[in-house]
Amino acid sequence: MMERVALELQRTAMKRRDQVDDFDKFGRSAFNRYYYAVFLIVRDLMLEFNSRWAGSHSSIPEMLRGTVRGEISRFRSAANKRGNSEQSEAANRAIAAIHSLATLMEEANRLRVTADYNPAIRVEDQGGERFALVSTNITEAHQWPSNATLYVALIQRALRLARGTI
Amino acid sequence: MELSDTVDEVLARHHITAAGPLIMNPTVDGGVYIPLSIRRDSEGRQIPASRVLADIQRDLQELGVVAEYHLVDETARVIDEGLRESLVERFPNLIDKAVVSSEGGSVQVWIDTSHEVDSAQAATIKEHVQRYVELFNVRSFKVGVASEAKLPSNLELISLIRRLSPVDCYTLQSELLARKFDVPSLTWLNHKLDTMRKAGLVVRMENRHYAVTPEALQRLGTSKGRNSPDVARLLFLARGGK
Repeated sequence: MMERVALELQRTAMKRRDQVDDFDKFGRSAFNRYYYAVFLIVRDLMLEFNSRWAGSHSSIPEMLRGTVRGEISRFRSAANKRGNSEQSEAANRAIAAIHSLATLMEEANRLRVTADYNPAIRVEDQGGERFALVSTNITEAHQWPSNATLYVALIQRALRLARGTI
Repeated sequence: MELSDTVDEVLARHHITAAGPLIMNPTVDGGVYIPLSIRRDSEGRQIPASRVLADIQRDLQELGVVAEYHLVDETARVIDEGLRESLVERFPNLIDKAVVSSEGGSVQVWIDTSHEVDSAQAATIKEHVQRYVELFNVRSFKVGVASEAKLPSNLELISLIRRLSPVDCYTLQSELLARKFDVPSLTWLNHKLDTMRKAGLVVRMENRHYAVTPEALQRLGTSKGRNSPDVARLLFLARGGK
């Protein structure tokens, strides 16, 4: 849902590219909403990981690389000991996905902070259907939510295998 | 001293120039993002090196500035985009979506597909990625096929049966669907169950309910603590098997 809001903002920005202020405000808001879409996707994972999770936005990448990765690593070690290669493969995929997801969260958050708190840094028109904020293209931001969904699914599946909660 | 002056001074000490105006991050005390252009030498090493970037962060930390980087890596972006496009073009019937991300000179590729990818196809995809990254100074790469994206694996099926046993194929199907898995048909599911039964992983009881064998339990393993699969099983039983 939130990615649809973002896409509408992205389209409105394109439609109003001749009105510089409108273009800038709709454009940067699109970055903000794409970040928020990612946050909502990742929040579900964090809540499944720990139902009492109430961490801040900026603590998510650290927690992914810390406690979430830790639990999956322990599962992988145990799987290796039992010689269950299917399980350790699932854990390997999840660990790679954790790394990618943490990096994606950091990037998206950085763009959100730029969009929200740095009004002097403007959205740049790049022609065609493209515009950018500090050289990150809106088409990249558009892919954040679906990429996050893919990573979250890989992490979730390993976590559920580890916990028997599938 | 202004935060931006502090950053400029420390950057100058390390002979580094920011690629644009600093990005203030008021969500963190003393937080700032430093935009930097990244290049690579002929061996694919990053310039400025990660070590230099870490030194700058440490120096700034001592002055109360929490700095992170906004790295602008044009080459990496072009490689990522090109690779993504080439994959979808080369394997139009196999790959629904390719996700490419690179960091520190190593590339990660995720293939998402609605079909099952056999090992020969996976090898062809991997080869394609390898040939592509060899053109650039990419130091390492990894291809993950998120294959059978929505189909439950045998492992996932056994794990679910462990928790819900004794369970029939109808309940199993609806539980899988509730967990957003694809179940092509009951025939497909029964075929899976049959294969697992022949492999000695599940038993079928008189009333066509399934349970896991000691062999399967052994393979699944368990762990201690709050998140143990045994706890998940006990909670299921405590709820009266619902």
